[in-house]
Amino acid sequence: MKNRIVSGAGAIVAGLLISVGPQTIFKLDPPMEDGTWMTCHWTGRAELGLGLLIAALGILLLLFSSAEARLGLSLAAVLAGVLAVLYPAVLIGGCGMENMRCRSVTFPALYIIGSLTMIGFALNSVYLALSVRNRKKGHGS
Amino acid sequence: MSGEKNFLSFALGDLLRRPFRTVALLFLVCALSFGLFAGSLISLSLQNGTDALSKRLGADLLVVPRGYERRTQGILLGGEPSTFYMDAAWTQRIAGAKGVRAASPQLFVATLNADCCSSPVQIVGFDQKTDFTVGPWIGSARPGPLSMDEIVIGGAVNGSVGGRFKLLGRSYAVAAKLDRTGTGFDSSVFMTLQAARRAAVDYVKKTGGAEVPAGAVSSVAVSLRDGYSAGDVEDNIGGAADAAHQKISVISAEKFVGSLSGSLRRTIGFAAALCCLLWVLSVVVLAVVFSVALNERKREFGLLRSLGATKGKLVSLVLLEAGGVSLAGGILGVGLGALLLLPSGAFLQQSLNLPYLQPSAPQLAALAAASLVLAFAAGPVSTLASVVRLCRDDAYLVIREGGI
Repeated sequence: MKNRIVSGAGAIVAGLLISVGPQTIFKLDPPMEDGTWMTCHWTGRAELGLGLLIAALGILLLLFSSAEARLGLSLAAVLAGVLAVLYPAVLIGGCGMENMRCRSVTFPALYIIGSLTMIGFALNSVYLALSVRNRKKGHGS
Repeated sequence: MSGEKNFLSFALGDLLRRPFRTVALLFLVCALSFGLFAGSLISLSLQNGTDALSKRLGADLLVVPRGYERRTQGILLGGEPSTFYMDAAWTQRIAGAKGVRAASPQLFVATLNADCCSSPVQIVGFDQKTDFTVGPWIGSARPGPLSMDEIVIGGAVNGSVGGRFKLLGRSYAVAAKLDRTGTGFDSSVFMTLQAARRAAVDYVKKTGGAEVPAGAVSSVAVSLRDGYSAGDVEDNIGGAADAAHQKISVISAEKFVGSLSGSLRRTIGFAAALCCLLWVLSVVVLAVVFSVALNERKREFGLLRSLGATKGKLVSLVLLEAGGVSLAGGILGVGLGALLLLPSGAFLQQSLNLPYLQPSAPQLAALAAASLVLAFAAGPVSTLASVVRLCRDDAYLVIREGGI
């Protein structure tokens, strides 16, 4: 039960930070003078969807009691954490100057939250895999 | 082999049986290693940045229009874009002052934004015939002079050699990219003086701002003749300015970098003292906790002794537990420090408004290893008093004190 609450709440918080953070707390750069958006805006849009997906995984983690199901959800959260880092770092990228807000504030925040999501849910997956194995062993003997 | 395995699992089991104590100790060592790693990483980055700035400045003196000293420092330290200028005739006057070996003009043009982004870029135009400050850094990246349509970009500007970079509606070929310095040079774009003058015209066309007078320069970099001090030449240039009733200011590179280095030395000293204090405090807290834990476990140790465990085995058990906790806490703290600080270099540079150049990979590895060793040592060192007591006491006394 404790694992369900901690992992579920953790995913919801991380997901909300990844999705809403770039629009509110660690804001992306504004549009250019002619109104066109820079590359970082599209990274923000991709993170919005990805963050909501992670938050949805968190809700499912709270709802499911089966360790096997939660193991699958945890592994999905690990991969989503990898994507949260890859969008700004490689797949979409950001603005041309490193001293711009998106590259000095928003992206580092996304790297940190994405990495913590990855590491946290990788550890949770190991914990759940071990508990599933131990339970099976217990049933076997 | 299986005895050693049992011994290890016994130590691990003991740590897991007391989860609150184990987590508290882990947190303490984690905070210690985080503090050591973060403190030394920030100090080293500031040191690297100041060293890079003093190497890159190149000039002994920088002559700028009076009132623009802070803006010049802003360009050098943080790459804060600025446009200001003075009469080009100053280059000749300064070159003729006593003690001046060479004088070279530069023109600063701040764009409203680069065409890639909504961020202004500092354009630095330099005279290729007389230059002795920018040329030497570019020389290693690209031999030969720059043409009107070629630029050199700082290490923090996104672009690669051979690519194109649009500024004020004009496309330039990227001829070279400079190494990072952690200073304002990283976010600047360098071009010839003529190209910078053309960029200034482009800027006026695009924004409708005031025109930059033909032949204007923003600063004059000065190199001193041997045997002349910066103070003497500063006075000579100041005298020439007074005679011409012109308002200029002379920035001494030595004083500028010296004041930065001085304040940096004090900050690093303070950080080092804090790290030492943190280490001593952690050792004391860990020693108290281990001492209390050992007191609680006297009965357990007495029984183990009566079952045949040697004093050496018990000491190894205590050291293994302390070492295990401090190693795990140390790795956690260093990992957390790296995760938080490494992506935040640009943010820290902007917040501190100081040259900030993160160390190279080997330097980083050495820092992490040193922080880890210090954090790891805290565990076994803190158990020394308890271990001595354990070795001194007789098994019978231990059992009796334990209340059996």
